[in-house]
Amino acid sequence: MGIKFEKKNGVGCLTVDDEMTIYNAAEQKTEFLGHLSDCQEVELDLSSVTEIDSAGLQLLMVMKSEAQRLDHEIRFIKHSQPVVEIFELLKLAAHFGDPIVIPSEWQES
Amino acid sequence: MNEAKQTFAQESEELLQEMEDALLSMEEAPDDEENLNSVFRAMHTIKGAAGIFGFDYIVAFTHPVETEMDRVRGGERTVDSDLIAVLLNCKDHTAALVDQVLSSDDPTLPDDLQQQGDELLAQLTGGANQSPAGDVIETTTELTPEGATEALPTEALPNDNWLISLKFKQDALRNGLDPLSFIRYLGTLGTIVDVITLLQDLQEMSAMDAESCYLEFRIVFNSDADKTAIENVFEFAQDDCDIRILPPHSKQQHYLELLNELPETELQKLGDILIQVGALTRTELEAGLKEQIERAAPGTDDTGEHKPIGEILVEQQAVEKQVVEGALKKQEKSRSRAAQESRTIRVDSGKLGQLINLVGELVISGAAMKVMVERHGLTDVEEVASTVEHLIELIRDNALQLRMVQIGDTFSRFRRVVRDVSKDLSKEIELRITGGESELDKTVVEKINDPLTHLVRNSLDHGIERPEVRKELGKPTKGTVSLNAYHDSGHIVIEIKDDGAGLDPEKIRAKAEAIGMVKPNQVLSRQEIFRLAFEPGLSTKTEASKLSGRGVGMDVVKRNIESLRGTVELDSELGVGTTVTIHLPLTLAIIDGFLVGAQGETYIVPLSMVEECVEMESQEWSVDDERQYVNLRGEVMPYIHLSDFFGTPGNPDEKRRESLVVVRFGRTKAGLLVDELHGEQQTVIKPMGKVFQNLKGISGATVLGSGDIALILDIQGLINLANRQHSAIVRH
Repeated sequence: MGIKFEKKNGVGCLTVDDEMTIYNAAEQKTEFLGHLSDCQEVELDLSSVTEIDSAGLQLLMVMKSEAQRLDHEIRFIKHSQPVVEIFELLKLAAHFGDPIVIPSEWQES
Repeated sequence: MNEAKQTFAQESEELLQEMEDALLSMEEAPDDEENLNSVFRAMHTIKGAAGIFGFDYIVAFTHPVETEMDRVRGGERTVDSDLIAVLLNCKDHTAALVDQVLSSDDPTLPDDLQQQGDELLAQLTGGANQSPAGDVIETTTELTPEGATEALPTEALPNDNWLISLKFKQDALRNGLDPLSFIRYLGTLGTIVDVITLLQDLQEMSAMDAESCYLEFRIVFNSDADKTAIENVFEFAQDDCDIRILPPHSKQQHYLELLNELPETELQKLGDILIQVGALTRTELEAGLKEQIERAAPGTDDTGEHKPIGEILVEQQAVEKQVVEGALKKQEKSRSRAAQESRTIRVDSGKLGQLINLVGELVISGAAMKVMVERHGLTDVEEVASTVEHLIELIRDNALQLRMVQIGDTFSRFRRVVRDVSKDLSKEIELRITGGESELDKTVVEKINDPLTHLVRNSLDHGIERPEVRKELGKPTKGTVSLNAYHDSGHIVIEIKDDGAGLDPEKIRAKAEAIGMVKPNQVLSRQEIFRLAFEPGLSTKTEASKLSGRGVGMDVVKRNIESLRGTVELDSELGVGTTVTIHLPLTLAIIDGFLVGAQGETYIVPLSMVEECVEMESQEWSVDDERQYVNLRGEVMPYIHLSDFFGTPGNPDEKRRESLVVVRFGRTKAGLLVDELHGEQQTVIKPMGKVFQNLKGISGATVLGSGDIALILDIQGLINLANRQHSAIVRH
């Protein structure tokens, strides 16, 4: 559980192995923003996000706009099913602009 | 023929009254078409009716006036104060013509009336030639939807979708809301076509609180659901979210169609109309109304100027301007329809009086039946009897209601008086009317008119100072006279108030001493001095004017009001203004009474005047026999011992169980000491014969269910007596 961070070829790789909800949004925000300002390029692995709510979504949006402000790059990769669902609900895929791979074993939602 | 004439005269009188009201409100709102229409309608209808009866001179006069009004309506002539003044004179002249019809059968008009009419017509049409035709009349009905379509440009969305804007407040998440869940739920009602998710202005990301909500959504939504259903989705979010729901264009069309189909039978409020067709939800309306009140609050609260609710709703993007305009049109239509068919029946007042008498007898018989049922212990009849009793009560209230009229009509007649008098005296005076919806018996209304006129004229003439004087005194140049009416414990209270010079108690006293009304060493309270103003022969004005000041009048006012079982009081502060307060009983026929007994005699106290009853054993009150007062929980008031007062013989040795009934009239209270409390009883007031007219403390009598007679106490008179008794003893 929690957030793993490692640096690969100058790219900060973040993996969230937790839910992204109001309960841990504050803590995640501090950590994310810290890494974002340190690294020119950040990849956020969302494959293990088991649950995401408005606060989590808001955090993702904040990261995107913060990255823009700093002129850094942030990519969301390996979106988990709950994340994709929300993106679809709010038609956000285009907003974030990251390619989303949908594995065939997911149920239609 | 005579009957037809009467009807014609009565109808004309009503129409002319309407015309006068319209003309007076035209002075404030010259562009209101409804007023123009009223004036036109009055002239047109009178002309038509006069034509049928062959009153040619009325036709000859009203026809040119009607033609002129038609020109005004067509925008060929503008409304100005001169025109209104001439039209008011035309109205008066028409009234004079109608009187002429009633008083003589001569088909030709006396010369003076003819000449007067010709002069008026010359003024009316002569003025028209000077005024250039085709003046542009400013229209103020245009709505100004500031920023209404800026944020959500509906025109840019040609397709048939709802547009929902959600702006969550920062505490939304902390309050346990998950905005996403609402959107998910919305999806069950239709298709979410597109969503734009926005973050509210965040300058510094690090300063952001991850637990606050900064989300905003714009949702394009396709659904057949109605507005209320969609709003209900966000029901729980209402406190933490600004919700705006704009209907699709096809809906607008739909609303307009529904508006067209609405029946025009009753006049509704704008908000209610919009809710009825579904263009507005109740929550939105409430928010709009709240906004309206809040905006009106600072500074301008008593001018009564509110921004129209329609404009506010458009600004809040609750409804489209187009729909509001449609609804306004509809409302206007129903209003004129309502004005056309006044749904009333003319009834001979004698028949009404008969009905009320019969109801009175019914009330008495009902009470008699109740007594019989109780005496014979007929429990199975009791239920039926109580139903009948309840019905009688309803019939009584309804029958009395038939004679009730609003006092507003009487009040609004004074607008003309104020206007004319202030022109004559070159003063600036505004008349403020409140409480016009208070109702009272028609016979009372008719009789109160003269005293009221006198009091208002007094205020206009002596009360309000000239504008230059007012300016020097630091008062607004425009004086105010207000008429107010409200109900208070079975009475109607009418206040005539001005912010004029006020009365000088010293002057009144000096004058009263000069004519020998009071002795120089007599001690008088402020209230007593002002009461002198109602005495005959007393006027503080050194010279009499055309309107008033001759010292006759105030005593007549007082006499008139007292003959209606009312009272009049005056209070004044020098330089600040004068208030005259009139108390009148609501009705003269049937009241709710409270039965009390003293030494075997039964008396009735009007229930509306009973403040409370206290039992003998109670520790809360004590009587001071010597100084004639009752001390009830620290409050001291004079009292009257009913059986002593009426001199009914009793056994002095017998220890009586006494109770105290506290009665109130206006601001004064008094106690009545009685032996028994019998409870409530409907009471038909039977006037007493002339022989008993000078009896003190009794205002009438009634027949009880048992067949006995009970006296109705004149509480106001008793309180005065008790006060006098009390103060006489205190002075000794």
